[in-house]
Amino acid sequence: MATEARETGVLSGIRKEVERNAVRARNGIKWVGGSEWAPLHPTPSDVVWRDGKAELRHYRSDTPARLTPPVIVLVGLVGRAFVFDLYKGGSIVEMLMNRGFDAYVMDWGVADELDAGNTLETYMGHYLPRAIEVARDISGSEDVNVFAYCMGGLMMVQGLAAEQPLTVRGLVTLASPFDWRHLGSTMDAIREGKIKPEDMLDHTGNVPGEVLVQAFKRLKPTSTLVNYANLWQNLWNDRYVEGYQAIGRYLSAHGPMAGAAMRQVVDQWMVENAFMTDRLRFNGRPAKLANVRVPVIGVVAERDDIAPLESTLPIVEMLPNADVDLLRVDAGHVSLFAGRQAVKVVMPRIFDWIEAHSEEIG
Amino acid sequence: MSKPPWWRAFDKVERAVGEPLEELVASPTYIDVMVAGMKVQRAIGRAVFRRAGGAVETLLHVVQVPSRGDIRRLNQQISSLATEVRALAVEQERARRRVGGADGD
Repeated sequence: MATEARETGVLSGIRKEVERNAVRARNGIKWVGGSEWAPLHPTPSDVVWRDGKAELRHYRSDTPARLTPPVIVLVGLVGRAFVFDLYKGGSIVEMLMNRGFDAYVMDWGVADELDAGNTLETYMGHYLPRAIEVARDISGSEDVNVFAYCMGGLMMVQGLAAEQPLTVRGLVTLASPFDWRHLGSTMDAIREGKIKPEDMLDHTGNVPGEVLVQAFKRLKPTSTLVNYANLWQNLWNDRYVEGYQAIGRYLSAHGPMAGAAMRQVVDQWMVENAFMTDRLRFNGRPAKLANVRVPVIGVVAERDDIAPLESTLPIVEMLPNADVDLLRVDAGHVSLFAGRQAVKVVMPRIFDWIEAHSEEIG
Repeated sequence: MSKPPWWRAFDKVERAVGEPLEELVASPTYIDVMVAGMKVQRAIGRAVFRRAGGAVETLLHVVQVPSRGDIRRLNQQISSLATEVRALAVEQERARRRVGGADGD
C-alpha cells in the first residue's frame, strides 16, 4: 500500500514535470519571440501636471478614495517611475488605491541634452513643490504623504532639510542609502576621486543609463545567468513570468541622470557624505537635517546588496527633530519592493503607517 | 519547494565562479584597471573626434548646415536659460508669499 502510494506520488511528480516542460517550451518560444506578459502602465492614469520632462500622474480608481491626504510616490533620478506600476497584482499604485488612498506618481522624466543643467534644486525646489500643489488642489487636501524609493528618499530629506515649500505630512523612505561609505568599491572610487563626474558624462552632458546599469550588474557579475536559470525553472508559471518581465524591464531601463545633478550628488552625498556630516547644501545655503520635522518611516532591507543595512539604518539617528520609525525586512533591494513578499508583507505594513498618518474622508 | 538536481548543480557552479568574481570586481586593483580603461577610451574618443569630427564640422559650416557641436552648444544655452527662468520663477513665488504673508493672507 505504502509502495503503491509512493509510486503514485512519483508518477504524479513525473507527469507534472512533463506537463511543465511542455509549457516551458511554449512560453520559451513566446519569450524569445518578444511576447508581453506585463504591459507597461497597466493601471489607468492621467497626466495632471507637466513641466519639461517631469510629469505628475494621477491614478484612476473605480472607487473614490477613503483616506486623505493623497500619497505621492517617487523614485530618484536613476530609476524609472513605472516601477510603481509594474504589473497587475504587483503594482504599488494599485495597492495604494485598493487600500483607500488617492495615488500619484512623480515622474522626473528621461533626461536629455536639454536637462544636463538640471540640479537637485530643479527637482526639489521647482518641480516637486509645483507637483505637490497640483495634487493638493485635485484631491482637496492641505498636504500629502510621500513614499520615496532609494535615491528618492535622499532627495526628499534634502528638500525638507532645505525647507523647500514641500507640504508633506509624512515621509516613507524605502531602501534609501544615507551613508555612502558602505556602497561598494565603485562608489569608493568616486568618493576618493579616482572616478570623476566628468569621466561618467557622455556627449549630452548626462550620465548614461547604461553606466548605472553596468555599475549595479558589477555587484553580482553572475546575476544574469542566475536570473535565466530562475526563469527557465519557472517558465511554466505565467504569473512568475509576468513579474520577471516587469522587474527585468525596470532593472535594465535606468535613464540618464542630469550631469549637473550628478556633480552635486558626487560632491555632497559621496565625497562629503553630507547626510552623515550634516553638510547638505541647497541653492548654496546650508540645509540642516534638524529642519526635517515631519514623521518618517525608514524601510530597510536586511539583504540589500545595493543599499546595504549599514547605509540605510542611519535614518533612525540622523534627524534630531523628526519622529522616525524603522521597519526592517528580510529582503533584498528589489524584493523589498516587488514580488510576493512585497505584496503580502512589506506594502501592507507601510500602508498601515501611512494610514496612521492619514484620516478618513468625510 | 525543493530545487531540482540540475538547479542545485547550477547553484554550486555559480557560487564557485560567482564568489571569486564578486571579490575580484570589488578589489581596488580591478577598480584601478577599470578607471585606466575608461580614461584610455575617452582619450581615444577625443582624439578620433578631433580629427574626424573637426573635418565634418568644417565641411558642414561651408555649406551653411549646423553641426552636431553647434546643436549641442545651442542646447546647453537653452538649458542654462531654462535654469535661470526656473530660478526666477522660484524667487517670484517666494516674493509673492512674503507679500501675501505681510498682507495677512
